[in-house]
Amino acid sequence: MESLTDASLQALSLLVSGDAALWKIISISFGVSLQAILFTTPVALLTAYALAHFQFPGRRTLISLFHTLLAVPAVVVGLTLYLLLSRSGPFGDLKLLFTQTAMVLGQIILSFPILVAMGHSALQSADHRVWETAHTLGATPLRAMFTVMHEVRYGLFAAVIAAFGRIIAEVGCSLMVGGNILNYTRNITTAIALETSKGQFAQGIALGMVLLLLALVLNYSLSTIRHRLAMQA
Amino acid sequence: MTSIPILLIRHVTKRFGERVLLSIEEFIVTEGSCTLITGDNGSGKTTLLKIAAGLVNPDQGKAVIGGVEIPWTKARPRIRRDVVYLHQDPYMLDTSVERNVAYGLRFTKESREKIYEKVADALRWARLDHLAHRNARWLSGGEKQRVALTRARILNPTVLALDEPTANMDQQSRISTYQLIDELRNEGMAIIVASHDQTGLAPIADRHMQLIGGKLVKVESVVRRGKIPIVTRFPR
Amino acid sequence: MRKSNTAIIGLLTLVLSMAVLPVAAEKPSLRLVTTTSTDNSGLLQRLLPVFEKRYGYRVHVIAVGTGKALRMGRDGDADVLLVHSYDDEIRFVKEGYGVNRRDVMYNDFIFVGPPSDPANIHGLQVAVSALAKIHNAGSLFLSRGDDSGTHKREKWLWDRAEFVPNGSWYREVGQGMGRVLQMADELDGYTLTDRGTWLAHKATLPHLKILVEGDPHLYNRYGIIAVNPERFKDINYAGASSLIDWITSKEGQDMIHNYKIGNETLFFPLAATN
Repeated sequence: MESLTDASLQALSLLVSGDAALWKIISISFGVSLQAILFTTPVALLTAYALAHFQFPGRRTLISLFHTLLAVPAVVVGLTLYLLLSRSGPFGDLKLLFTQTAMVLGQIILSFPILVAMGHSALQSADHRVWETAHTLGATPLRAMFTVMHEVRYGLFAAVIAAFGRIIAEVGCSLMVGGNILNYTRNITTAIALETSKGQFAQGIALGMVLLLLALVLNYSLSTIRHRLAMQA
Repeated sequence: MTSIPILLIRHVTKRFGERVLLSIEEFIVTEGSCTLITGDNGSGKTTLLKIAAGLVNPDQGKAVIGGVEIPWTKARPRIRRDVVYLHQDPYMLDTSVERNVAYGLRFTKESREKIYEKVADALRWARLDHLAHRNARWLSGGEKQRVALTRARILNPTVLALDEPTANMDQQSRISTYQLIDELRNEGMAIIVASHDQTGLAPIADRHMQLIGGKLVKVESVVRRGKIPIVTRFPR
Repeated sequence: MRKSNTAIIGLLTLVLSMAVLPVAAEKPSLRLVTTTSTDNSGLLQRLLPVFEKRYGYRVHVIAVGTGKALRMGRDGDADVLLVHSYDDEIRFVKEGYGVNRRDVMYNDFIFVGPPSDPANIHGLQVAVSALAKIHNAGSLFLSRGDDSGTHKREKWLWDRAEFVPNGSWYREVGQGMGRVLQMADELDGYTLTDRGTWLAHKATLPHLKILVEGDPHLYNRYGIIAVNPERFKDINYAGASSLIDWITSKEGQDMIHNYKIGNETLFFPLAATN
């Protein structure tokens, strides 16, 4: 087998030279995951706020439910979504299987519980005086909500970063509902999973480097945020 | 000070489970008055203030506006607009002092320039201008109190509800705070103060009420203006 | 208290290692690498138990794409190869990686697609024309895209049709035949498949049917090769030779011929009869 060093050097040259195939794969990963996170974030944060702010029966159960959903493996989400979107399934007529839309849907499902659970924790930790202060100074409930979110923004950023980190690196769901189709649904993780089995190590290593670099950047941001959070207290 | 009621609430009760937090027949605040409310912890002072500010809804209660008795839900927006509540330890938003003071004005239709003009004036009035760009969370307790008061004052409320404004303050800071409260009253604001500190505030209060177990027990209506020793207004 | 904990751990380790031993003290193993389509056909599940019983080996079947199979043979990660890529096989032996190549059997490729047949290829006798029509109609075509034997045949056919498939109608999936068929079924697309995988999966593919078959260009020839023992020390050459001898013997060839899926013969024996 060609040596690891050879493959790695080749990988670097692929990255630097702007190899079109490679960068197409990377752009699909980012495109899909960014779409998912852009959709999920506002909805999840509103949900988290509702859970933190309002009292209603079943609230605690709902919160526990979201914490439990954190543990659902990506491949299980992928399988369930596949069964739903398949021709023999209830939503087959939408013809979403093996499209980027299906991948985005899957990643929305994966990122939602993380954003709600972590967002809720952050909002719970907000000082209870924030809402009253905003309100008494004339803020409508909606504006007061934004003020509360602004006060716990570091915790919310951490939630978004954690959720993004999960979906950009998942392979189980993308593989099942995306199908790894070249130039359409082949993203970083499905390419690493499947293309390397054909001996395409250089591309696999290049993609792995990109993912690793991203993971490092995300984690560095998270720790910077934690530092800020600690300073805030 | 006139005797025009600017806040009149009746038959107000608030419970927490079995416990009665507040049960009062009538509570009136007149224009330009200063009402001192004393009572032990748990006597309902904070509850009364928050209800009067429209932050907490009573279980039962009515408001009287313009001589007409109105159900609480209808009256609430009006009450909220007219009354500003300050926490015992006021919350500073995680931003500059300037932005903290400007907060309430953001919801008005004023332009940015106008707003920051007003803020600059207000900061000068409060002798906070040298701290304008500092993050409000890094200020001392007394400075935070001044920011909170300035933040409220800039909105021109009819009533200010102050919850234990001088708790944990040293004697000098307390006196400065009383002076400030007096100034605010001179500007036309009615003040409701909940406090343990009877001796300090009684001289400047027009009325003194006491809450025991949620009920207004003693009402002393005294028109009295005490002499406040002259000290430097605000320690820098 | 601590003494009895150690005793329990020691006992567990002993019991567990005893459970492992019987497996280790079993028959010698033979690593056979083959393609996913061959594996999918189910033929090996029928043949190998007979071989194992006869010769006392335990055969480990590794199913990968043809490209990877040859690579594994080159790297000594297998003892014997069963693949269907004639030119590559000959080169493999020529370059000294394998010895004793023998023809085993042949099967064929077929075109499957939606019954609505938008490109109108049903019943064509020439595979190349079918591809030409699909290309011109711009109908959805799913390719293995993984350098497998099937993919190589597909590329060879495109060459002969003098087209380079390009465009949104041509989708490279990069996965095994079973998965590609599943996707073609979902998306109403055409694809080239080996008959074995098709027969094995037909029941779960209600939206596809056979559209083109029978062209000699679609015949698929299987060869078996032993990995050259002189290149690696721990190659099971004896086992490889036994398998090669047996699979090309009358008994092996008869078994291949008798292997049917739903009454259809899949593979046709090629080894010279004894």
